[in-house]
Amino acid sequence: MMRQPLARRAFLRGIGKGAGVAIALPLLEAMIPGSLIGSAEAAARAARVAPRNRLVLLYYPNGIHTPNWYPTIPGVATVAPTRNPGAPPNPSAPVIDAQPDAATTTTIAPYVNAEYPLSPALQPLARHRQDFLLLGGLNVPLAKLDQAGDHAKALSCYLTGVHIKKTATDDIQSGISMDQVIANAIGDQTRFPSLELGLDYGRMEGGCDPGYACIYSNNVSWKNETTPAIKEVNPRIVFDRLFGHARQSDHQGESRDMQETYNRSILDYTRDSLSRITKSLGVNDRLRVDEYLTAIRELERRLDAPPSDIELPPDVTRPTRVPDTFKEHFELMADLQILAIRQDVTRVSTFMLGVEQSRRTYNEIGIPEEHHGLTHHAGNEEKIAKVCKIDAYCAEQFAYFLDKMKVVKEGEQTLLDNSMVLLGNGNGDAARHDHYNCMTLLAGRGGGTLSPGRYIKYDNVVMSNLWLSLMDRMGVEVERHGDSTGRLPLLKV
Amino acid sequence: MIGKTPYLALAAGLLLGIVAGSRALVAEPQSPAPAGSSSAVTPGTLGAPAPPSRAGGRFANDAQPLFTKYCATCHNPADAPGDIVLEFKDEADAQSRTTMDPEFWERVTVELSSKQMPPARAERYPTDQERAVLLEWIEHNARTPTGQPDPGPFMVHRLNNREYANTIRDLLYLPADFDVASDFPADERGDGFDNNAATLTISPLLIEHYLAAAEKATVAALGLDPQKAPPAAVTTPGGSPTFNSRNRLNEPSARFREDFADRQGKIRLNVEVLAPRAFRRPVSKQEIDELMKFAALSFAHAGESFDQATGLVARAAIMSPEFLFRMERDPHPDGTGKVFEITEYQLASRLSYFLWSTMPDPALFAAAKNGTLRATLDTEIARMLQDPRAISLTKDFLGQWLEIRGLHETTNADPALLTAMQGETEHFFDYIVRNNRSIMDFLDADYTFVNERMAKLYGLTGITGNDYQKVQVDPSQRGGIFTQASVLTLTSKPLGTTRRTSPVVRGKWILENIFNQSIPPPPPNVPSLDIDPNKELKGTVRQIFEQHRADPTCAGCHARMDPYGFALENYDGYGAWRQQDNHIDVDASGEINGKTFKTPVEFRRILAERKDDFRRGFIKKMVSYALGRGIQRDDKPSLDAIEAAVKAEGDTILSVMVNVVKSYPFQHARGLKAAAPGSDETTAAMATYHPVFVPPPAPPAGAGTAGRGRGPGQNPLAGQGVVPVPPAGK
Repeated sequence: MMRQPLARRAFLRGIGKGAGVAIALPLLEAMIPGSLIGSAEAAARAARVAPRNRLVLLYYPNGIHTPNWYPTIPGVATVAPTRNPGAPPNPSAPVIDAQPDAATTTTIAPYVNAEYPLSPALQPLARHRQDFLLLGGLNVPLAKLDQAGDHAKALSCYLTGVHIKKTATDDIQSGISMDQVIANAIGDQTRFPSLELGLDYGRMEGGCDPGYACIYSNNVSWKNETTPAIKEVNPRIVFDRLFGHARQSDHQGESRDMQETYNRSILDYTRDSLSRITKSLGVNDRLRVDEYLTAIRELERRLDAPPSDIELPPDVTRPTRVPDTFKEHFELMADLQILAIRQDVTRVSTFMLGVEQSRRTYNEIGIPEEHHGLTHHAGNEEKIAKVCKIDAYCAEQFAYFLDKMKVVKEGEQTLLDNSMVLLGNGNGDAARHDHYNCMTLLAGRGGGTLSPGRYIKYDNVVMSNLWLSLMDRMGVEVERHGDSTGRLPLLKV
Repeated sequence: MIGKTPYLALAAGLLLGIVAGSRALVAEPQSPAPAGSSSAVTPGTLGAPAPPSRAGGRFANDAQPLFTKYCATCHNPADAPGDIVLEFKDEADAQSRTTMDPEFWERVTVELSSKQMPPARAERYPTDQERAVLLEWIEHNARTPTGQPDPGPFMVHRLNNREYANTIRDLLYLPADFDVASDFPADERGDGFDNNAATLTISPLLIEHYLAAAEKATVAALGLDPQKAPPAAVTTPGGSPTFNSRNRLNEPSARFREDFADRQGKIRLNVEVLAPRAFRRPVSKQEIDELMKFAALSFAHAGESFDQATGLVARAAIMSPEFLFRMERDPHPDGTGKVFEITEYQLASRLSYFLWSTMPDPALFAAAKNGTLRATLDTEIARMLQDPRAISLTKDFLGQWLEIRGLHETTNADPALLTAMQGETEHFFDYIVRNNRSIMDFLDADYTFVNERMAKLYGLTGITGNDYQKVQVDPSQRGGIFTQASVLTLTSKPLGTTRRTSPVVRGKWILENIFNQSIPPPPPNVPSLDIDPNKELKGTVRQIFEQHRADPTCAGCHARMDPYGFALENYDGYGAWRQQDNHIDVDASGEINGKTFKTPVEFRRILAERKDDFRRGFIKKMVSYALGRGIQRDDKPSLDAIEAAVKAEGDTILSVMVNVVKSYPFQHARGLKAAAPGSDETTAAMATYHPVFVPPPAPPAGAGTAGRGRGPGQNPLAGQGVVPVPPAGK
């Protein structure tokens, strides 16, 4: 009983370090030496590997009012029963061990419906209904372990599929998130291995979720067990990072060439200093130094990449500030993100619409109360109505995102056809934090690997199975991710 | 909860399995644990034999039955309120609780000794004698750690955003308002502070910010603007450049500028002053050599400008891990990871980042160089607390300790009013620091600081303007930090366009921030108190909360928190004094630990009696902030020693600072365990510094360097078409 989790952890570690990850790339592509990446030859080869697929993950904080998000269909449950079927009576019981090693836990065939009625919260997405899959019955069971801290767990267990360590202090322990597994595997094909964006950094003072360090409530993307991939919230900085080199005139300092020469030398120098330090450090203590080395490598690789053929559309301007309203901020970040994937600056990104326990107020739609406070509505009808309104507002922003994706043509198809855009959350129903039937909306055709336009209700499947299926579609085939038990069926018919 | 009892045995078994299993995961080192590391093996750690109880078998006979009888009815694995499980397999199991939760027994002790547990609704109560049995077992067998103080693990502290901005500003002599980190991604926090080593991570995004910041800062420092005509040196007929800029980074070489024979030698003078300041320690000749390559690089690309060259060297230096990280390496490493007393330079850095959130100043460097810092800590600390840079204690320690840094996240309040409130509390803290007041002033000071805006809120007359004045408070109305408007606003909630009080939040705030007690989260599936922020209240807030407390599942914890909040019902949602809430007279009476109070004065008297609890909590916060890490169980002996000394020295803030700085974990660090064989040379090279130049800046006579280098290392500029710089100072 004690040995099993050890072996399992070791296996997960392996994945985190890249070992055991089978990357399904054409042989040719996989054999391109690192030094050639970015060369003209490599670019030419990359061009033959088509079509490229992209993955954008939008995280919506706090969770939804489930009955208003999923359609009401007789016989298809959307709200968790008082005790989840199959869930052990004790929430602290070993869910990890309880799950079989392979295959699927689904015992009841998924319910599939292409004619499902759009629930009220999804009305803003009516024009896109043929372009997304509404997925139900996906759970984040590891977020049910330990007591309290549901927001922290909802977020940090979400893409990692691991049992995060309950701690408010130094010994943070999460796991690598799915987007970073992809970035590690295929990130070297693009200027940025991955992008991490958000609309706020999270609470600056006080506690977050009881018993859990704020780092768990603020980050959806994790580079490894202890280090989140921090997000950028300032559109100007995102623009400069992504496209600064394409807009020389925006840069106020020395010439780009000179800056690059200097920065290369500085990074060289820094790496030398670091390697001297790592040599003198014990293996357990060099983590922070390794992070620096990894960051340098990523930056250098970007400098080595060809001065890409990015020509920004003429109407694109450099943002100058952080917009005041949620909607404006969202749209600006969405535009930048779409620009980044259409220009192939990156192929995987995460975008947090808010940190967990978000206390954002939505004054622009007449809601001066804090979002998180409202979600604990205790059955109060007025509060529920407001939560529903915020949920629908979120769907409206998502519709904007899809609109913009559809405008971009890629040959006969649109950018959305060659992408997978997910809107999700790990809490389940916002008032219950049951991590059951978690909001999951998967848009796009994934380069022909998804068949949207349907509602699929699975029977209590772990979320990580979806991640495994999405990773497959990004050309990153792994045996397992976190607590996955298999692949999610029926995404493509 | 259904069918609790039948599940108990099964659940306990499962849970213990899980706990043990996951502990193994956590404790499993990736490589053999450092020899001599006491953190690697703790009593009861899986696989380690449990040490014999000091009280010899008393656990099974005495303590365990009492835990089972009085505690485990609720604190069993199935319910585990507050994550406290007091059902034990055996003594080793009980002792191992601290593996998962270092403060486990500390928390139990507080509850037991203050008689807050078992709660009022319990069926059985232990006698005082039985309580003593339990406390004695905890004290002797579970609570006391190895008995030896421990500096904690080796840590790498990345400078956090404010430390980075402050250090850049001081290093490059930039103006006080120059904040180069203003748009950096926010730092995460651990244990309530943003200087916690574990949460200060590095990412490519951050390195990009650093690169841009380094350019921006050096350009500002040297008055360089590349958009304008290159400030490259004007070449005189004799072929030598002349200088037309003066700044402090170039000062060291300025006096030699009449002699243009050795341009790089002159820049080297600048670098020999800059580098030790940037790395906060003496540097080796090799380190200077490496930095000087950037002078050559600049000459090659930007013309023969001294400023440009010095600027580029500075830019490289502040990208170095030696600048960005604080990591204390053992000056005499033997590869065992032993504990060592930190060097004087390391001490200077710890001290300045603790009290100032920035690099050491020339006086600290000088003391470190002369080896006199450790011997003069009292006077140094006193001096540092009077320095303007000590404002960081107010902004960063106080701001995070009391959470008032987040006051502006408060809704339904005028931002100008919030700023005024924050100003009051900051002035109050600053006064305590600069006047070496007793920390007990936080509990019952009879003074505070107000400007016109705050005076209006408090109903004081005759105070005008934005400047704060020290005023005596009306003792019947105010006294102590928890009667300040900043705290009272922070702990209230929005109600329509105004704010209502929240006795629960206020009570929790006092217990957590003033007495450093942790309050368990509410049990799952208990609806939070439903007060609609858009509806008028019926009755007083207290009346509504009293109803809430009638629910037996809530009563236990709320009976502890709420009295503190009810006692503050005379202060409205913005901290203004009131006699009535919703047209009904306020009832601010209550009972805490068996002592009743009717007025704020009586309440304050009860709190003021809890000096020991406050001192302990305050010191813990301060130690955590000073060390940049969470409190660990092996800190107990050190904390006890600090507490005793502070108490004996009259609880002055200076005594807190001095004793924290003199404490074992502050004065010591853990060395590094040697890496794989074959790296001995580099380890030794890292450890041996060859001082060539020591701050404070003072150009030496002649450009000679006293150190000896290791010979040419790897040329970082290889392949860049740059000729390595020849050694200077022939």
